[in-house]
Amino acid sequence: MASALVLCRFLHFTVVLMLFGAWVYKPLLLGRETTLDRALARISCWLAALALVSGVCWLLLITASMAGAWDAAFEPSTLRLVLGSTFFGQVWSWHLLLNGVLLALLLSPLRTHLPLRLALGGSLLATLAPVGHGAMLDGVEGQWLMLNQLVHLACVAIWLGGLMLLVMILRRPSGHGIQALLQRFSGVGYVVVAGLLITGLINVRVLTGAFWPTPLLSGFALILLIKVTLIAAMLALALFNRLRINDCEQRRSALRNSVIAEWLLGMGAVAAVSLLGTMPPMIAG
Amino acid sequence: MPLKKALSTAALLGSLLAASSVFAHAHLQSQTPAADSTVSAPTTLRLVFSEGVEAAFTKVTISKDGATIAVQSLATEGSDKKTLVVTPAAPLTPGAYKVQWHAVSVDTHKSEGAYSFKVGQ
Repeated sequence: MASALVLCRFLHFTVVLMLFGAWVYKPLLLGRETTLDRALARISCWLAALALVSGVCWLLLITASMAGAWDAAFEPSTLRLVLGSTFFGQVWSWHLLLNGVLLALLLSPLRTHLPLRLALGGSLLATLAPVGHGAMLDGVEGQWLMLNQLVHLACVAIWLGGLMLLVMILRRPSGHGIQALLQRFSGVGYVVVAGLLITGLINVRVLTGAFWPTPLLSGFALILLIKVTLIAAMLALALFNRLRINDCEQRRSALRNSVIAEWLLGMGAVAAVSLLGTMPPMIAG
Repeated sequence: MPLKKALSTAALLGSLLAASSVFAHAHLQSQTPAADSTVSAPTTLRLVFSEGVEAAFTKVTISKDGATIAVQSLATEGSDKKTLVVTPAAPLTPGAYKVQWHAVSVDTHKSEGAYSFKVGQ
């Protein structure tokens, strides 16, 4: 049950992050260019559908976990109890509703309306912030932690979604002025990475009560270490590409491969965090 | 620019230091009647957790000599989701009681534990 939940969290987080991030980065990166629009619209549809399916699975798994029995996931009364009287359920009813509306929007003629897509995608991301460890503090402190988590998620989304978009652009046979495009990408990248690191550190501090959780090589601390290593590798790749930006036209295929690698590392980090969300950050005692 | 950087770094470090430490996953912090105490018959049991719990999915079993005592209600106290109030269906008679709890916290994690207390003559 626990591993299915981790997988479900991973899938759901990844697709929601990609959706929102790609939409935010698209106008920043390509302006009003429409070459990628059709491909992106098709991918968006699939991602939104996948988000809805994984979101429903997440609800079923949480229900089974709370009730302590697999068959509880399909009992209408237990599902009603989860949706109606638990904090997770109240957040999740909104989340699933937004996801459904978003999918409907993407299938309707209104799908070209970017502000509408961004508003729905943003709300979908926002309703992810309170679930997980964000809920463990109450009152004002808890709300700050959720806000922090929201900023963190938005930064992650923009970075990963941007990478996905970059992969899509680099897979196309030339055309765009790659250097100017990369410069725009990295300009936004600096802001996003800074936001990501700061909010991430605040999260660690608040959740574990330490600057770094101990013991270093077990449980929460180990997974966190793996996650941070993955992010460090991403940053190293990003820095490498930034320093060699001047000859990017000549080594286009190498650039594409390193962007794909960076994107996969990012997915690895999301996988690690999906596992972290189910673990206790600190051992009591 | 350096000053601005220094200030924002200081603000960040300050906020990090001020953050209080907490445990994720609900732990039992205190309970009335207290664990291992001898009291006169209580009408309710109060369990205070380290974070909010979902009353709908939290289970508390009270037993005396292996026999389970019927529980009339189990609820959190108003907006304070950390305090769980358990009301037995009938007043507790003198004897040794064991309380086993399985909590689901508001962040959906599960935890469990047990303690005992005695009701005196």
